[in-house]
Amino acid sequence: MNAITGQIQNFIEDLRGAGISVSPGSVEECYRSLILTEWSSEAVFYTILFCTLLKESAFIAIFQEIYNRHFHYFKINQPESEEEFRRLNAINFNIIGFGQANSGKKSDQEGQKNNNHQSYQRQVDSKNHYKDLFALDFYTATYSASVEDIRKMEQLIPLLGKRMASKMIIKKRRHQTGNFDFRRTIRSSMSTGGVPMEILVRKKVREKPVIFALCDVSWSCLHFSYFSLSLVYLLEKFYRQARSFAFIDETDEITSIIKRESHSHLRPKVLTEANVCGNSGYTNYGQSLSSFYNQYGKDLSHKSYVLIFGDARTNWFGTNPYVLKDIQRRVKRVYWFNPEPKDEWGSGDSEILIYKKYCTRVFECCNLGQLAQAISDIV
Amino acid sequence: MEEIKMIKEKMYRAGYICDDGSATVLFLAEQLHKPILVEGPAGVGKTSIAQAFARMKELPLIRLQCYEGIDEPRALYEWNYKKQLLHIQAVANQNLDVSEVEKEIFSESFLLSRPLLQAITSAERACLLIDEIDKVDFEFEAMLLELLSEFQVTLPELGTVQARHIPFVFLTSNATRELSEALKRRCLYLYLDFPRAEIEKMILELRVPHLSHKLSGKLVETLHQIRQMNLRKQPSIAEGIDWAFSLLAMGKEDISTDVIMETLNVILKYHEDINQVRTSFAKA
Ligand SMILES: Nc1ncnc2c1ncn2[C@@H]1O[C@H](COP(=O)(O)OP(=O)(O)OP(=O)(O)O)[C@@H](O)[C@H]1O
Ligand SMILES: [Mg+2]
Repeated sequence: MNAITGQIQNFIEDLRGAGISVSPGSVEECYRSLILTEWSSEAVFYTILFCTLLKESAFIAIFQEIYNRHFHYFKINQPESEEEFRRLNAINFNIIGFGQANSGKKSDQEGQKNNNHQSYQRQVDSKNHYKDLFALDFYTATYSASVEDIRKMEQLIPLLGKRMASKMIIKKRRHQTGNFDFRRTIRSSMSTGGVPMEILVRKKVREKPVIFALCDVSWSCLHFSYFSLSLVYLLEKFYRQARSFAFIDETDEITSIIKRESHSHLRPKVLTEANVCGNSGYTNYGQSLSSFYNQYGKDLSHKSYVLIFGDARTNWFGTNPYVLKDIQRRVKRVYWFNPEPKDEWGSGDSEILIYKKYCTRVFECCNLGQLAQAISDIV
Repeated sequence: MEEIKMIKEKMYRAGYICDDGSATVLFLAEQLHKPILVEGPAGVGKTSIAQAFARMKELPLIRLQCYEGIDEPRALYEWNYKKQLLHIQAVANQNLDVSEVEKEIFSESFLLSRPLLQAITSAERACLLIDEIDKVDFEFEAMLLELLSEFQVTLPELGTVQARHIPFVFLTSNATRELSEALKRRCLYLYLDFPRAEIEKMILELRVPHLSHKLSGKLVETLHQIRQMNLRKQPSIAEGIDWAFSLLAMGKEDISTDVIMETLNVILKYHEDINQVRTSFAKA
């Protein structure tokens, strides 16, 4: 077993590498807690790291995995009994070298130095082991990321939801402060002999936008569609009027599926239950847009926001840009979220540059981080 | 370990089952004088850990239930406007000096203390539970952060009020939104999840008198099976307790699949969840 401090330092570096922010204050607190407590079981040790270093439930799975990797020796040296754990515990204290009885011994200090050096070396080696999942692009995620990474990315989705919710609260507050309602206050003071016992304010009514979200669920957007559907699932919770649609070469409403299913089940349910495949089964943006507009165009109004999630890869089918133009004229905003990097826009069968003319904004969303940023820009 | 074992035992006597993890967080919060931020699914004991802790320490529990739109007058303090008005009316024709009257009506006897002010001014140390903090808005959160860092508040009319005792603070959150980094940094983080089977069995037996080991074991086993399924809303500890009470009331000592089927509505809230569990138990 190596110096536990160095090991904890490595562990923290890996947490940071995976996108978990750990402040220096938290690190200090973690060490203080380790000294204060006798680690009578692994649960105690684990909890100390957990409660001081982690503050966000969306990262629990990532935290656990990194923990298991670093503190595997608990598993290998499986302390069978409490006695055994106490023995390990005693060794740990010596190695930390804090305040315990024989920590001042020279050999210990030397040992510590060596270990620190070793652990630095290891730190350099393992630097790139943990990817920041917010920065992992959807394309790589689809084709080469491990199932584990994808599972962990999925668990970050609720975090996006929480960020959105936070943002909405700020906005709501800004709009909420009502004005003093002079007439009602005076009128209600009649019953108390003209003394205004109740101060009344006017409540502001804020128009809630109606969201229309369209998701490309075809093969080329495979992984992105997974995340865009989850995102729409979140939107559904924040705007009471959020309607969602999926398309490949035919558009169908999926609002009820989204309401019903948990976000991890969405994609397969949409593919089996919604009518998104027309004749060809290949992505066809022109046809899908027309299909959307013909079926649901009548519901669009100046209160609507249209959000389109897709790569605008048209398979050389028609683009029907005039449909998007008509849509844009009827609604308040059109936002497009494109999972491809900007340099590829317009190359090959990508028609995003044509559609761009009729969008309020087009966002590059290659990874979760960008997607989160884009969403927070519009809510 | 002595301290953590002791906390577990004392919490047990206060009516709450701690595992090593939650006992460790309680221990550290006390040592480091830090608030605890408790998160986790609904009905896993976030509120009751604070209540039990107060009982264990024999301290008064002051609870601030947060809700959307809660503001300082509701949480911190408020001037008793009606009483002030009545006072002004009463002294209106006594020809008093205006500044005298003003001083009078902004004195402590016209002050309505709300939970946060109560918690820091109470004569003995208190345990402050700020429940469902994720419901508040940002200005309110900033005010809380300041209070939890300085343990003092400034009332424009009365000056600064310093805490007499630093209260034990629990904040609970259902994580519907992200809290500010600064607030999270102030706190130790306790994540309560659905408990392991043996812990949940202990909880049931503690909360539900006359429950046999056999029945509690079977209940927990079934609950855990059900939580494996992909449901809209998983049954929590709270529902498990309700379930045990209803079965006892029905005089069931053993639960067969039939009994489970009949009583699913006690633990599941959604019709489609009930159906899903029925189908899966029918197959088994
Ligand atoms: N560890 C435990 N020991 C004893 N009782 C428990 C424990 N955990 C939960 N309970 C019981 O479960 C029920 C639900 O707990 P509580 O109300 O504290 O949950 P909560 O997490 O605050 O839920 P919500 O998110 O709905 O506010 C209570 O009756 C409580 O007594
Ligand atoms: Mg609660």
